[in-house]
Amino acid sequence: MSLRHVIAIIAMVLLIVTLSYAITMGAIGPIPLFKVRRVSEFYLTNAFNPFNKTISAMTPEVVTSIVWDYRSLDTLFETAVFYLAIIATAMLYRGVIVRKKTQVGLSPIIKTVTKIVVPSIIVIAVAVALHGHLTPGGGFQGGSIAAVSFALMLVTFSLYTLIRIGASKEKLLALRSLGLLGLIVTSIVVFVMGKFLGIRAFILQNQAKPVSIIGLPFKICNFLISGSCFFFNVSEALAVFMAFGLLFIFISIFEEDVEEALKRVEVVE
Amino acid sequence: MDPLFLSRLFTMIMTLSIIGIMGISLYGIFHRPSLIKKIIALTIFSDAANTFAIIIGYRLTKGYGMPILPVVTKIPPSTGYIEMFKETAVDPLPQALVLTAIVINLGIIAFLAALTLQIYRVSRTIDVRTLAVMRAKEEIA
Repeated sequence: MSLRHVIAIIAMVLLIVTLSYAITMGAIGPIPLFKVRRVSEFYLTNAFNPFNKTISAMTPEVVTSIVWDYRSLDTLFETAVFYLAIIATAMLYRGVIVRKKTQVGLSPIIKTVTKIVVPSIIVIAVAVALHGHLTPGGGFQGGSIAAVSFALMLVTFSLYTLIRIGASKEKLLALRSLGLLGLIVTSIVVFVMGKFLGIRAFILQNQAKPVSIIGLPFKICNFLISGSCFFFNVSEALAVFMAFGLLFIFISIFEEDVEEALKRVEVVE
Repeated sequence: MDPLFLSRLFTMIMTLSIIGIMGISLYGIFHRPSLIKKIIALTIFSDAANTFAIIIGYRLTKGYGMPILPVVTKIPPSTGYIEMFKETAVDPLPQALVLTAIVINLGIIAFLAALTLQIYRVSRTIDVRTLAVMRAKEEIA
């Protein structure tokens, strides 16, 4: 055990003790409280409030109303961070050509089980994404659950089988861009509508506001869709699913193909 | 025992153990030489931070009943229902913050894993000490 090791451990213990002391002495206040904080009280009261429609998001799920209505600009930029990470990964693997090979994958038992399990995972994912404004869940979660099925198929059937049935890198990138396009269109649709009708309207607007009388309908044919929340969830689920699929494909590309691309880069340099 | 004291005690124990986990994961990030172990420690740190935020969002209700999910289940709600909902639902704001943070973490972690994989393919090691020595040798050469 070297001196540096000892110093590191002592520093960590000191950090833990200091933070614990601060919290025990009431640095973050007494938790849990009997009341939620004032801003959360506002969200809880107004997320679905038919008596005060001008400041309500008309979304039964309060978390979704915060994520896609009250603080949707934050979520949009967080989505941007997420896709920048994906683009950075895609950049790491530029120039990699996946050669067609035959791979067998795992045993027939596992393949059969996967064939049964994958549709049910997709169904759960779609349900979570489509009911994002009604029950806990939403686009992010639905997309992540769907991506699990992709990882499962990648391991059981091998990458080349997946590419043969049409899940290529380019297709996933195109579908991901379609999801992002859906997000952009949903965020400006009310603004564009207002421009055409000559009424004041805002970007990322969902329901009608006191200063702007137009908004998306929160109910279509007796189905509660909560305006933009539904469309945001659907496009986000598609984009997240495709983005994670892309990541899994990148990580599982065959070793020889990547090394060939790396050698090619060295030759060019 | 007083239920208020008990609930505060349990919350305190949970908070303190999360701080402990954060300290251990920071040790992993700073002091483990393997890049993969650094990434694992980073996931532990982010999960601890998210759990901390969720614990701050927990609340007590009058009569010490169970707080409910922040989901309006009666549609259309009456004025009384909204009042009751405000008094019993947990804080939705930390959940909304954590929700996006988890997915972004997943994206960032996947990026870091891909980066580590490429580092391994180029230099055949993911030990930061060896990588630093290789870099120094390259600069001398």
